[in-house]
Amino acid sequence: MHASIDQLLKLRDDDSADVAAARHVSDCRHCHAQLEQLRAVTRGLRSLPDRWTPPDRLAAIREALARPKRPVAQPRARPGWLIPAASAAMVVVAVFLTLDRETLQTTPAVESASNATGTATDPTAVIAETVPEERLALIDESRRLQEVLDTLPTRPRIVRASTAMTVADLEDRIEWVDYRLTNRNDAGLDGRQAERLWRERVELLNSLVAVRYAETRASSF
Amino acid sequence: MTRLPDIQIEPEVLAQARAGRSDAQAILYRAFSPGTYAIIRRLISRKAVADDLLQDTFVEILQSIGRFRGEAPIGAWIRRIAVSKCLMYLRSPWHRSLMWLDAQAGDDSPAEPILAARAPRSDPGHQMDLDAALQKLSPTSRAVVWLYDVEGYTHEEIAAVFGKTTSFSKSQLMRAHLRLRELLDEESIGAPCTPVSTNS
Repeated sequence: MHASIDQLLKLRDDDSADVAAARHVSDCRHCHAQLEQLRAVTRGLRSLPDRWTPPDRLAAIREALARPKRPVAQPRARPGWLIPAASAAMVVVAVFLTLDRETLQTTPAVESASNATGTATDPTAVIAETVPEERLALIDESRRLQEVLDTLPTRPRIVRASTAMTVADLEDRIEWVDYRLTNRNDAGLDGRQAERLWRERVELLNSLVAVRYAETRASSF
Repeated sequence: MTRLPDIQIEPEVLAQARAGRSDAQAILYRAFSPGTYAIIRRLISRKAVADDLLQDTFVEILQSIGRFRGEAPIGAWIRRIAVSKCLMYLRSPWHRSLMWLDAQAGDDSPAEPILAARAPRSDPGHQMDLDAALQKLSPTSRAVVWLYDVEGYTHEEIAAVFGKTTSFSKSQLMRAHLRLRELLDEESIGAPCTPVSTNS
């Protein structure tokens, strides 16, 4: 039985954990040749010349840098949870108003603190300045996809039920990600968890763009 | 081939680029754009897309350079941004749509790995060179094999940038090498086990 590609790759990388495979490869001409070929391919890859000249995009880069950064597109408000949340907030305020005057004096402070910690739907509102590059890239990609979504034509009035359900499901999941991102400080999420959420948001937006794009194409025929 | 992490830049130039000095930004671009573009072209076959990704990469580099802390070589930091941009593009629905459209049109451009992959096997006298074989891999396999074998990423790092598991990275690497072996038209598949000593 010849060594598998997995075993050969491990041997190429000097991972000598698989002693039996190493012994076989040293004895078997075919596998020995395969391993040597693998090493030659790797050496060849590393010595491939750079055969491309980069375009001179310096002027375009400077132009892009000079442009003021566009504000992050707001994820669309979702009445599904916003309305109950707003109602609940109104009830809480009403309860405070019916209490004694001393409590009333503290209410504005409570409200402003609540606003500052993110009752907004924009998850980017609470981004700290020291965000790692990976997450910044995800945030940029998220913003780009949101802009792509905004440029798509208005949804047709008549759509397939399955498409409508898929779109609704994706929007709900994006909304849930946004909710968790907006409240990540309260939930005690660490940077890695926040990055996972941003990645999830990008992937969901990717899917949503694909579905909406297909929907637009279908409705144009 | 000069690897991005090996490129040195004067600390003063870096400080001036952080301060927004355009001449320092130009020095950075001239120093790092060839290596950055080389990685992007290895991962992205389409020139027009690669050109845009290079621009996006440098816009982000120059916007974020104030946050670069210098704990790793600046080339490694630049490479990470470029790779991240490329992988985001590969995951985008636009890229997938383009692949589908090319497949429908019978396009045998390097972006389409499967359609033309078997062509060299019909011509045993011709051995496809490694560069061309690499371009025939699927974009994902090509990215994994390039990042692991050439750029020195670990499976854990590849899994992280793809947002997948290390098993994904390992299986893509295996798949890539099997495909490369096929494309390079090795003749040893199916050969019996023969002791080395009897043939040397």
